[in-house]
Formats: sequence, structure tokens, C-alpha cells
Amino acid sequence: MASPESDAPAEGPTSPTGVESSIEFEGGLGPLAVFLVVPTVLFVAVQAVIYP
Amino acid sequence: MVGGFVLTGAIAWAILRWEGLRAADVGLSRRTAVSGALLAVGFYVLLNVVGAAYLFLSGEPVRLAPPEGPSFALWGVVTVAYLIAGLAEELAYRAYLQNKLVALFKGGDDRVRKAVAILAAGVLFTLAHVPNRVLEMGLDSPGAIAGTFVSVVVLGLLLGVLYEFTRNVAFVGVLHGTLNWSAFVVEGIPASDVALFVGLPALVLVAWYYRRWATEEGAPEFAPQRQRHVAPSL
Repeated sequence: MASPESDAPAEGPTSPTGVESSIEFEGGLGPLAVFLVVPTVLFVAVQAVIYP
Repeated sequence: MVGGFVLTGAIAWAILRWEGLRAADVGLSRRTAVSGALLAVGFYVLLNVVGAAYLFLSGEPVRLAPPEGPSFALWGVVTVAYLIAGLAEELAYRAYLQNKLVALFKGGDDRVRKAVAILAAGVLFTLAHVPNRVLEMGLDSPGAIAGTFVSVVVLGLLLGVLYEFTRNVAFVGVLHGTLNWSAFVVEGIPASDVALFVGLPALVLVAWYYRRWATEEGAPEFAPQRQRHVAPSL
């Protein structure tokens, strides 16, 4: 456990709270591609059933 | 209908976890749910109070409009369905997609890049909605399809800017989910005038005040969006 005196490296800029922070996305383009493709495939499949 | 939106929300949540984020990191937590719902309700109350005051000063009677729909129970079910739809879509398209694009475009600290990312997210939001509208509404003329495209882009941009300014999924989710309602419960209010001249300025004011309050409270969801560098695999 880090002590208060330890000089752990900070990540990102300072947020309004004064805490070093950021909303960091770790996944690259893979999650974005899945997000865009999966609902599209589901939509097309559902429409194919509704409007054969 | 609700099942599809629940699935949308579930996919967005799972992808956020894949990205190493929690829903609370992007503005969906118990705290933001309470403050966001209060903010949206306050906005609708303000619209109705201003509309009622206008009617009163004009010498018109002020009375509640009769509830729409066949029954109160059905109205309640539809309300819950719209709220679920709004929250799920805002978690997907604003909290995930828009934040991800801002991070990829390196817009966390750059307003121009952020604006481009919000625009791109709005266009993708529109592309996901227009085909469904075309099929459900039976649109077949290019003009009608273009009109739908533009109206959804404007809606997406409005919600995108409001989200970026408040980082509150519940606030934009409740607004999104209640767009199919009439915002007015007082009969006879000139809806379009009040919405334009009171609603839009009130939204700006509410969003500005909320951001100021939330940042003073130290809300962590206002941190800039970043994309961790991913080394290309060989």
C-alpha cells in the first residue's frame, strides 16, 4: 500500500476535484467496431423477419 | 420495443466494461440519476409555470389538460417504456459512442476536435435511427427521408451538447425518453412559442447551472476523455 509520502506517477491532467484523472478508454477500435456492427446486424435480422 | 432498448443498454454497458470503464465514470450513477431526474422534472415544471403565467396574464383560463391515452395504467407503462428507451440510448450513443469518439479524436482538451467528435456521434446516431423510421413510417420520398435525417441530426446534436456539458446520462436520458410526450399539462399553452423562447434558454441555463454545481461538488465524470495508446499487433 502506498504511503502518503510516496511519489506514485500521476496519470492525466487535474480534474475539477484536484485529483489527477481522466476517462480512459482501454479498448482500441475493437469495442467500437462491435458497438457499431452488432446492433446493425440485429436490426437487419429483425427487419428481415418483419418485412420478409 | 422495450426488449430492444434493454439490449441496446446492455450492449453499451458490456462495451464500457470492455473499455475498462464503469457506468458511473461516464455519468450514470445513483447520484447523477437523482440530480438528472430532478433537473429534467424541474425543466418541465418551469415550462408549465411560465405557460400558465402567460395564460393567466392573457386573461385565459388556467386548467389541467385531460390525460391522453385510454387509461392511466397504460399511460404509466408507456412512460416507463420511454424512460427505459431514453436511458438505454443515451448510455449507448452519448456515454459510450460520443465519449469514445472524443477520446479517439483527441478532443478531451481541444474544443474543435471535441465538436467534430460530437458531430460524428450525432451522424452515427442518425444513421442508426433513420432506417427504422423509414420502415415504420413508410417514408418513400427523398424529401421526407432527408427531412427525417435532418431532424434526427439536430436532436442528436442537442442531446450530445447537453450531455457533454452536464455529463449526466439520466438528465439527457429523461429528456430523450420524454420527447414523445407533450411537455405541457396545462391546457391551451402555446407550445411551440414557449418551447422555443422559454424551453431552449431554460435548457442552456439549467445545463450551465448544473455543470457549475457538479464541478464544485467534485464530480469525477467531468474528467477529459482519453484513448489509451494501443500498440499495433504484428
